[in-house]
Amino acid sequence: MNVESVLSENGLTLTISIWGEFNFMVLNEFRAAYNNDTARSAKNIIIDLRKTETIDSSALGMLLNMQRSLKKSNREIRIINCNEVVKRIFAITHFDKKFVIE
Amino acid sequence: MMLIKELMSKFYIKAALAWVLTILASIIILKEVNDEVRWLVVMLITGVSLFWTVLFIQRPEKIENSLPDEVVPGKQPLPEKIQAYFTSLISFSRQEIPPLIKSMKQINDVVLDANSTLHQSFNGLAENAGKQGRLLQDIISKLHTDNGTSNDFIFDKFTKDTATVLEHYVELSLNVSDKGIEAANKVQDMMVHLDEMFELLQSVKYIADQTGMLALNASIEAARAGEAGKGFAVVANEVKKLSEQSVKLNDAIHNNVNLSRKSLEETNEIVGKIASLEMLDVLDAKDNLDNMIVDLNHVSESVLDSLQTSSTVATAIQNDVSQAVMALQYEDMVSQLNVHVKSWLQSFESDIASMESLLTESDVSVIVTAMNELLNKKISQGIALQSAVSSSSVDEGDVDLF
Repeated sequence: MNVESVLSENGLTLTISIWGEFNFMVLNEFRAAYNNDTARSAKNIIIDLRKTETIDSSALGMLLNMQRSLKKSNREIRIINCNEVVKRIFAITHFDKKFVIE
Repeated sequence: MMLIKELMSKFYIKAALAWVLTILASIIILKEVNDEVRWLVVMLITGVSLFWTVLFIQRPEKIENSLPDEVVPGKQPLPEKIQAYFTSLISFSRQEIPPLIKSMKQINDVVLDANSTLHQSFNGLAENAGKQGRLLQDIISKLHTDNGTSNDFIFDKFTKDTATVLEHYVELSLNVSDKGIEAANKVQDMMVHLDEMFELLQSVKYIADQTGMLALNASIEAARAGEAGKGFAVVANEVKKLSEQSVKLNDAIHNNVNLSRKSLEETNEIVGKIASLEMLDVLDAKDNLDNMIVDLNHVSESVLDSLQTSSTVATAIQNDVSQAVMALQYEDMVSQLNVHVKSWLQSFESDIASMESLLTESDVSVIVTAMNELLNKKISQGIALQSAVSSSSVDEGDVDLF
């Protein structure tokens, strides 16, 4: 289990956390975390990368696919607790213009 | 002034004494003579007094004028030894002066020649230094762009291009990953569908098996019915065959779907590899690019510095050369001096000729006077020459050639 999704008590915010390496190995788990009714009903989606060590381009692809998948409902997707390397990767790929990075 | 005063006072004392004596003598004489000759005596006394006065007033001038008279010797011929000395001096001068004049001409020629060569060389040097300076200025102005940054000319385009290439690469890899993940998701969906198909196939197999069992039961029941069940036994047999074919077909479909699933798994793996690019490499590339830009900026700055220094040096060379060219005007001075010295030597030659003719003069005093005149003339010529030399030096001012 490398991906964990937790819905807030009021049911408004879904927080998805990824452990270790955020790469192609967690593709199905990550997709499962947002591709469900619970996620679709949540108002805010938070991707918590506190436990994430590294990411590769597939993680970026997954985030873009997730954004496209959840776009219709016009909700905010925030990526929080990024380490320095991950922050730099988001900067170089202009992800900071596509997502709210904190 | 004191001396003249002293002299004057002495003469006045003498004059006064003469007057007193004359007047005393006059009084004694006037007492002795009668009235008839008295006016003659008065006139005589007045005349004597006037004589004294004139004598004493004229006295100082007379002293001065009389001085040369005391030292001027009588008419004498020039002593033979001195004449011989002069003759040898004259012949020596005659011998030495023409080569000197020739040497002066040679000096002049050599200086003019060397000077024209130097002029050419310096002009060439000045021209080349000027070219070099302009070239350097041209490069510097190219390096300096309108916005004042120095790198645009050589490096900025290169770094910008490199950054664009990196940007493109990032964009491309992001796009590939995006599409790859999308494809992987579709593959995943398809696998779910295939798994559902397996379940369906399982159901189909179950139905076929059940149909087979039903056919078997039907053929048993048909056999028990005897002759009447014969037709039904044929149908049951056909149904059994159909169910067997169904099972075979189901197995074949199962196998094919299984192969598809394996292919999809492989596809998933391949797509995963395509979509998974190491982002740290991109970061390294970006770091390298940033460092390269910093390095290139340093190189560019130092190149610019060097160019500017070189340009300053080129300008300095040009200034030095133009100063040197200015200094070459000493040629005029040398020519002038040459002319002066030559004319001096030539006049000296004619002086020698007149000196030679003087030696035949019988009176030494005439020789001395003429010699003195010649000497004075030479001295004044020498002063003129000296002033010509010094004025030439002053004209050149700060040029330290002499």
